[in-house]
Amino acid sequence: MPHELRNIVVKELREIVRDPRLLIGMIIVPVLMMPLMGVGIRSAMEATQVEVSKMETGLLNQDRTDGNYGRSDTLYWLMVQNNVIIRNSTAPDTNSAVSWAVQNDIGTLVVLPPTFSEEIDSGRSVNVSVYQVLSHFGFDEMAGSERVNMVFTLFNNIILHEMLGDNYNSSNPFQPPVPANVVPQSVVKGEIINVSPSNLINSIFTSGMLIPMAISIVIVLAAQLAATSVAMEKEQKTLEVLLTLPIKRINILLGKLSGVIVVSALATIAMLLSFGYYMSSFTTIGGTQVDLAAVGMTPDMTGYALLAASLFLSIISALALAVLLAAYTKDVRSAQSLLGILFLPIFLPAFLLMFTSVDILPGGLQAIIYAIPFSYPSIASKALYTKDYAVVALGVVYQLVFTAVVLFIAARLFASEKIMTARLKWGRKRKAEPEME
Amino acid sequence: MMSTRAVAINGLVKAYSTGLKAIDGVTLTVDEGEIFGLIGPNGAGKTTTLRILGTLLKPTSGTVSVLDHDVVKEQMTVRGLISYLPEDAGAYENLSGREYLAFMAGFYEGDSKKTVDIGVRIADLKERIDSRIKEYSKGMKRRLLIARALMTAPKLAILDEPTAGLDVMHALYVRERVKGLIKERGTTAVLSSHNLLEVEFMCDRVALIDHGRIHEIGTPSELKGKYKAQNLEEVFMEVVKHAA
Repeated sequence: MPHELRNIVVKELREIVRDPRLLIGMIIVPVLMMPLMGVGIRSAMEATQVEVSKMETGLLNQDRTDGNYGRSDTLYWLMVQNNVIIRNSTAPDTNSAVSWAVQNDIGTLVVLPPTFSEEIDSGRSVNVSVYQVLSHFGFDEMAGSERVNMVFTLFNNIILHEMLGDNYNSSNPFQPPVPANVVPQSVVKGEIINVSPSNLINSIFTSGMLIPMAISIVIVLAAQLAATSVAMEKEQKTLEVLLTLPIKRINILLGKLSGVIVVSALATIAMLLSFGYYMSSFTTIGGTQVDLAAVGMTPDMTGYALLAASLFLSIISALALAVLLAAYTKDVRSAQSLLGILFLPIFLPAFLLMFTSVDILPGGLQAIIYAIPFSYPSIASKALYTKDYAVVALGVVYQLVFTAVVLFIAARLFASEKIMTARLKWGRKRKAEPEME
Repeated sequence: MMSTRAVAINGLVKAYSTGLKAIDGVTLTVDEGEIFGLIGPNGAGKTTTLRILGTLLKPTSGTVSVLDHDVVKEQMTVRGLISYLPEDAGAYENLSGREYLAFMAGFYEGDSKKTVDIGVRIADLKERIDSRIKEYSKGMKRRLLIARALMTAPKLAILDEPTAGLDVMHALYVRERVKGLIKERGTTAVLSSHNLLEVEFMCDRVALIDHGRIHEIGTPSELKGKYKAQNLEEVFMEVVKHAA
């Protein structure tokens, strides 16, 4: 390496290493972020596996063909062999059985029709309705019906093998119709929706998966604007003048935040519009998409209002936190780097909630997610479909308190001389050390 | 008629959590209409003193008042009386000079437009007053900031190194404009400077500060006489030598 180049590289490295703000934002936070996200995702997956293993499958066996239970017995045996935990329903009809499943927290319900064995024995195909109770539209909820589907695949193979003997070839498309034709149905809020749960979950996932990430990006952009706004005042030395003007410090803070809020609101609208277009491009792909409006799954005004409230409060709290962090820096570069501290709490909930629900996370992780104010817009975006608004409403109250506390601290900081003197130092608490003259 | 005290500093101490004392028992007064200069080496405590006067920092002990208003207990009143110009102060780069002056005038009572007109005249940047500040040279920027500091006719102007880094032409302009306006309007000014010729030209009285302590106060001619010096630079060297 040429001497001149080496000289510059060494200088740059020294500057970075000796600036704690740069190190925190660019090295320490990224180093922590991915492992923590990994732990979070792993915990979520483990929790999902535990949930699935405990999941019960209801069985309403209406098969009464001439007192012959042969085929349903085979199916029952296969389910047991494949570790499906079965609870038999004594409900008089399908609707009652569905209500029973919902009340007893049973994820999947299999309804065998009265002619089940008869049709199969006659070589005809029989429709078997499999109802999946959906509460949070997570992928874990597909696992129950998938397992039942697998059992029916085995069942059909056995029957066809029995019927065709050595002529049976499961890969041959010219086989007789499948003996038991599974008709997957979804149950949402106790109502039966004639849509496959996997299609419904996929539709909700594709239409809503990017909402938490989009929200996170808006929050980060807003925080960056706020931090830059304060840091630039410091860097350009305009803050000193501003602080000596006959204006209340709280008004300086609120004025700065308001400016960023207006820009953030515009950014939010722009982003929602662009994502709306992006989402609409999905509806023509594949053919497995479900028209959510047609099955009564359109988000309502309450959902939108709560999403807007939680997003707004997330932005305000992020702005206030960003202003607090920026107060400990003296230029824009340091402020941007230090802001990295906020990335983890902003992106972790969004990332986790894209794939799973808070309800099924382990207790500790749940507490962390609920404690992070930036989690609530993601939770609210899910509630658009689940209509579980209680948690979101409580979250909005929590966000209000959190935001008020952070704003209070920021206002106190602005009112004190620390806004001029506070700096982060390695190896000791922050010290008030202004440049002396 | 007895002159009124524009600034009264009594036993001022400013210590930081590291234990370092930036100011260590400063006592001085500045009369109304006076231009008072603080001179001293780097790190002597000049800027800290000016920042306390400007209500940016709080004293650890001692009292500081501007026109009988305590800078700690009556911060908002003091801020209405003063105008503070920090060393190397910047301005909002994406505003024009006129917009910047209008923004600043908006914080004061009275006819903003008239205040801005005064500011435009003080800055004397001709048609460039409507250009973006980011297009200004350092000298133009400083002239704009001086105009901002003086256009509201403050009772006390606090100017930290008003001509630092300016070329001879801009420095001369700023120096003469500041002195003329202050004298013309009866404003009081406390300024710091490393340029001792400038201090000698502008200030009625000066204080020599080092290690947070005042070592001498007097008119430039009194101090020159006391130290048998040709100019304030020689006085400064003598005082610093004795202080060390």
